[in-house]
Amino acid sequence: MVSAPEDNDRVLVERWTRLRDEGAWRLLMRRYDLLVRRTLAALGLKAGEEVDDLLQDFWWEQSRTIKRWKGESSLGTYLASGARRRGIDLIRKQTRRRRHQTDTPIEDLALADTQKSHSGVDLKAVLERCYNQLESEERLLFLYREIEGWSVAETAATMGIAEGTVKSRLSRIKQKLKDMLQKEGWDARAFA
Amino acid sequence: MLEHLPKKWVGMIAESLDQKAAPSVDWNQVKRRHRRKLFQRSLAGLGGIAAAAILTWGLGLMIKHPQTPYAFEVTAEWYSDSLSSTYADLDNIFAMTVAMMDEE
Repeated sequence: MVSAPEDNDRVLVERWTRLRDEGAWRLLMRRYDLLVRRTLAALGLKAGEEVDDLLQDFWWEQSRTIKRWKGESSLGTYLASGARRRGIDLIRKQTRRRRHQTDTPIEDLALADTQKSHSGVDLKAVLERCYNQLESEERLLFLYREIEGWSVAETAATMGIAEGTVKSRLSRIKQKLKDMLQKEGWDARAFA
Repeated sequence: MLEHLPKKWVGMIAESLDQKAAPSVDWNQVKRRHRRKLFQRSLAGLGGIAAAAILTWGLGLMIKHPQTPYAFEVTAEWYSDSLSSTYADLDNIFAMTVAMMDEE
C-alpha cells in the first residue's frame, strides 16, 4: 500500500496501526529520523555500535507502541521524549561501565575528542567545543528551541520542565555560548 | 546586546551535531535485527528446556535403575523410617488425648 507524501502524522500513524501500511511507517521514520539522531548526538552519544543498536531498538519499540500517541503533543515531541529517555539510560549504563574501567566521565571524553581535533581559528570547531561544554540537558534545550525551532510549550513538554524555565535557561545558554566564543575571539555582533 | 545567536552559528552547531550523529537506520534493518534477536531468545529458551529435560531424565534413570547408588537407597529408607515413626508418634498422641478426655 503506497502512502501519499502530504499525509499528516495522525493519518500515517492510523494507517500503520490499523492497516500495517509499511509505506506509512517508513515515511514517519524518514520524517523524524534526523530529530531522533540529533537528540542522541546532543546527549553526547556519538555514532557507534551501541547507539546503532539503540536506534534500531527505539524504532522497533515505537512501531509497536505508537498507538499510545493520542495527538496531545506533536509526534516530534513524543518521539524526541522517547529518544531522550533511551539516550539517558544508555549514558547511565556507559558511565557505570566506564567507572569500572576508568574515572573519566563521558562528557569529558566527548570534550577531549573535540579538543584533539581542534586547531587554529576554525569557527565551527570552536562552536562545537563550546557546545560540547554545555550540560547535556542544555544542549538538548538548544537543539529543540534554536535548531528545530520548536515552541516553548513543545520544548517544555519534551524536557519535562516549566515553560518559564525553558525561557530562562535558554537565555542563560545563549549568553554562556556568546561568552565562551568571545573568549576564543569570536564576537556574535560581527555576525548580526 | 544581541538577544539571539547569529543564524550562522546555529547552523554550524546543527551541522556538527549531524556529523556526530549515528547514521540513519532502515526499516528492513530494524525488522531483520528483531527477527534475529527473537530467534536467539527462542534458541536460548529451547536450550534451557532441553537441559532441564535431560537433567530430569538423568535423575529419573538414577532413581529407577536397579543398581541405584547406595546413597539414594539409604536416603529413601531414612525418609520412610522417619515418616513411619512420625505417624506412630501422632497415633500415640491422639490415643493419649482421647484417654485423657475419657477420664475427665
